[in-house]
Amino acid sequence: MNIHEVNAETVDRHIPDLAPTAFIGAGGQKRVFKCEYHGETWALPLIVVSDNPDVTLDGADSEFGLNSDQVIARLRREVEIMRKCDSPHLVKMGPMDVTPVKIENLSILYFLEEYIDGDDLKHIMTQDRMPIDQIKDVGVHVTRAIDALWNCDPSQQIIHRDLKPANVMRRASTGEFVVLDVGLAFDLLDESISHPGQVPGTTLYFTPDQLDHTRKRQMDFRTDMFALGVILYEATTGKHPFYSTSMSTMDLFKSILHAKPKPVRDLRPDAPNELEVIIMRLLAKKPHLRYRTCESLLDAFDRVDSRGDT
Amino acid sequence: MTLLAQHGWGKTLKITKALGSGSIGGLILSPRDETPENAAAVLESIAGDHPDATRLFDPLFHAGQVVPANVGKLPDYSYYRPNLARRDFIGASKFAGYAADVLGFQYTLNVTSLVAPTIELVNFGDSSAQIALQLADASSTHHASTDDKRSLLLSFLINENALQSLDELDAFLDAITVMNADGYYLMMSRASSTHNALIEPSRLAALMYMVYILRVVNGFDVYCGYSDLIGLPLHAAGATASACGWYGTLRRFTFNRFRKSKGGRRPRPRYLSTPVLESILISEMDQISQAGLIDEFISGTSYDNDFRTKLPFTVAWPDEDAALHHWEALAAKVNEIESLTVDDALKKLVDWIDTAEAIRSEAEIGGVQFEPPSGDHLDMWRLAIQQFREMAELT
Ligand SMILES: Nc1ncnc2c1ncn2[C@@H]1O[C@H](COP(=O)(O)OP(=O)(O)O)[C@@H](O)[C@H]1O
Repeated sequence: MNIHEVNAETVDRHIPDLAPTAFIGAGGQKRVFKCEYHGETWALPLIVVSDNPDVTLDGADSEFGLNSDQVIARLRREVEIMRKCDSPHLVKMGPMDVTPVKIENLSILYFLEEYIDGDDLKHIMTQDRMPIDQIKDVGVHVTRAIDALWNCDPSQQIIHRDLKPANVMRRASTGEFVVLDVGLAFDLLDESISHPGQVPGTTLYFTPDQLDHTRKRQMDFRTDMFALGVILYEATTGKHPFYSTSMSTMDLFKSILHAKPKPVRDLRPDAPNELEVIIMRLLAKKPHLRYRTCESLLDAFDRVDSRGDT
Repeated sequence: MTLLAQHGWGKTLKITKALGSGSIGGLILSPRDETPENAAAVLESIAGDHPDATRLFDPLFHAGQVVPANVGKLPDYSYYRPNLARRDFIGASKFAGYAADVLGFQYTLNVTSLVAPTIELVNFGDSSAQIALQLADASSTHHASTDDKRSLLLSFLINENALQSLDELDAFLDAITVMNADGYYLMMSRASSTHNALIEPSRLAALMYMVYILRVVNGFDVYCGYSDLIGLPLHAAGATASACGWYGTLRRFTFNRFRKSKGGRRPRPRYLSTPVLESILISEMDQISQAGLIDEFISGTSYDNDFRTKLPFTVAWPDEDAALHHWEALAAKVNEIESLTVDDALKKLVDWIDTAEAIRSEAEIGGVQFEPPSGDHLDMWRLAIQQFREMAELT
C-alpha cells in the first residue's frame, strides 16, 4: 500500500477507537485526519516511518536501517516538549501518547493534536492578495511560535526546520496563526521514505544554513527566521524570493545560497518600508545578519505601520 | 566621548588630566600595573570625580598563557592563573570556576561593566576558539546567576592571523551573536612589531566586519582595546569605544607585553599628526618645518602649539605631553565620525586618507624623506574599507 491510499476507511479499520475519522490534509510522509476522542474533536496525524512490510516497530528493525525504538522515543520526547510549550501559536498536543500501528506494509506512528478549524496559509495566499495587517500578524505570530520552541525548555532548544505556508494555519475563531508539524524526527526515518524527492514543496523552504555543508555550523532559531522571511516575502508579493518556474532543484539551491531577492516594494509598492526591511533582513544568507533574538524581531514588527505606505 | 585610556605602567597624572580635559571618556585598567588595593582605589576615585566615565577592568587572564611571564602584579590577584595549559581547559567546572573568580573580583570594584576572561584565539576553527567561547559562555551563565545588574562584556583576544579565514569568522559570529551579554571587548593580538597603523587590509576589513555585525546589526556594545589609530576605521564600522595607551604595548597588543623585556633602546619621540593619520618622528617634523609645511601637519591640540613657532627638535616634548596630545588629537577624530552612519563615516575616513596622501606628496616634493614604512597604511586602510563595504553589503 502507498501512503496516499491511506484513507478514512482504512484508518477506521486499523484504529477503531478513533473511528469515524475524516481526511483533512496530507504532507510528505504524513496523512492528517479529523476524529472524535472523549467527546472532543482532534486532529490525528499519521506519520509513515517505513513502507517495508518486514519492519515491525518493536525495536528490532535495525537490519532495515531503522532504529524504531529511537524513532518512537524521539517523537515521544518531542511531543512531550511540545506539551510544555504553552503558546497560542503552536498547535497543542492531545491526550494520547505516540502510538505505533501497522497498516499492511506501512509502519505508522500516530498521536492526537489540536484540530484547528481554519485555513492554512498556503491556501490563504493563493486567494486574494493578503492585507498588510494580516501579513504582520503572520510575522508576529510565527515569531512567537519560533520563540516558544527555542525558549520553552533551556536544555532542549527546538528548531522547527520545516516552516512553510502549509504548516501555518489561521484559527478561524480568533484570526491567530498557528504553527503545525514541529520538528518531527525526519532525519531518523527510513532512508527510502525521507528521500528529498518524496517531500514535494519542502525544498522551496530550505535555508542557506541547511544547504551549507561546508561550514558545519550549528543551526539555531535564526534558521526558522529565514524560512519565515520566505513565507512573508511570498505572502506580501505573491512571488517566491528564490524560485521561478522551471527552475531545477540545483538552481533553486544555488539561488537560496547566493541570489539576492528583488526588493519587496518593487513587487508590492504599498508595502511599508519597515516591513520590507524586516523581510529582507530575515532573508540574509548569514544567521548573524538576521535578528539576535525573537524579541528584537517582534520590536521591529511593532514599528511596522500596517496601514501601508501611501 | 568614546576614546578610553588603555591603562598600564606609570600612569602618573595623565589619566586624571585627560579625563578632566574631556579628551578621554574613561579607562581600561590593567591589573598587571597596580596592586589590587590600588586598582580599587583608582577606580573609586575616578568614579568620584567623573561619575560618567567608563571604568573597565581588563582581568588579563590571557597573560597566564605566557611562560615564563613578566606579569607584574598579576600574581597578587586571587583569580590569576599562571602557566595556563591545555589541561586547564578540560571540564565545564574549570570554566565555571574561572568565570566566577574573574567576575567575582570585579563585582567588588567600582567598574561600569564587567569584563569576562579570555585566552588568545589563534584560529576561529580550532580549540583556542572553543576555549574562548566556553569562557565567554561560562561568564555569561555566571553573571546571569548573580544579582549584579551591571552590563557584561565578553572578551576576545584575536590573533590577527585568525582574521584571514572568513568562513570560520562567519561561523564564529553566528555563535557569539546569540550569546547572552551586553557587549564585547575585542582585542587584536598583533603579529608584527612594526607600525601600529600598518595592517593587512583583509584583516582590518574582517575586524571592521566583526565590529559592524556585533554593534550595528546585532546591537551589542563593542569596545576595542589597544587600538590607537586603527580605532578610527573601527569607530567608522560602529565601535562603541576604542582604547589607546601611552606607550607602544598599550597601543598595540602583543604578548611581548607579558615577556621579559630585553631592555632595548628608548623609542624615538613621535608626534601624532592627525592630518596624515600617523605618528611621525620628530626628526621628520624637522624636515617638514624646513620645507615650510608644518601647518599642514599640526593636529591642533592644547599641547602642540609650539611646533608651529619653534623648530620641532627644540620643542620640549615630554612623554606625558606627547601622550596627552595623542589622546586629544585622536579623540577629536573619533568625535568627528562617531555620530555618523557607517556609510558616512567611511566616506569621511576615505576623505581623510585622500587628504593625508595629498599632504604627504606635497611634503615629499618639498624634499621631506619619511622613514619607511611611513604612510604605507593609508593604501591598506583604503583597501580595507573597500573590502569591508563588500562584506557588509554597504556598496
Ligand atoms: N492540527 C491540524 N488541524 C487542522 N488541519 C491540519 C492539522 N494538521 C495538519 N492539517 C492540515 O493538513 C495539511 C498537511 O499537514 P502538514 O502538517 O502541513 O504536513 P507536512 O508538513 O508534511 O506537509 C496542512 O496544510 C493542514 O491543511
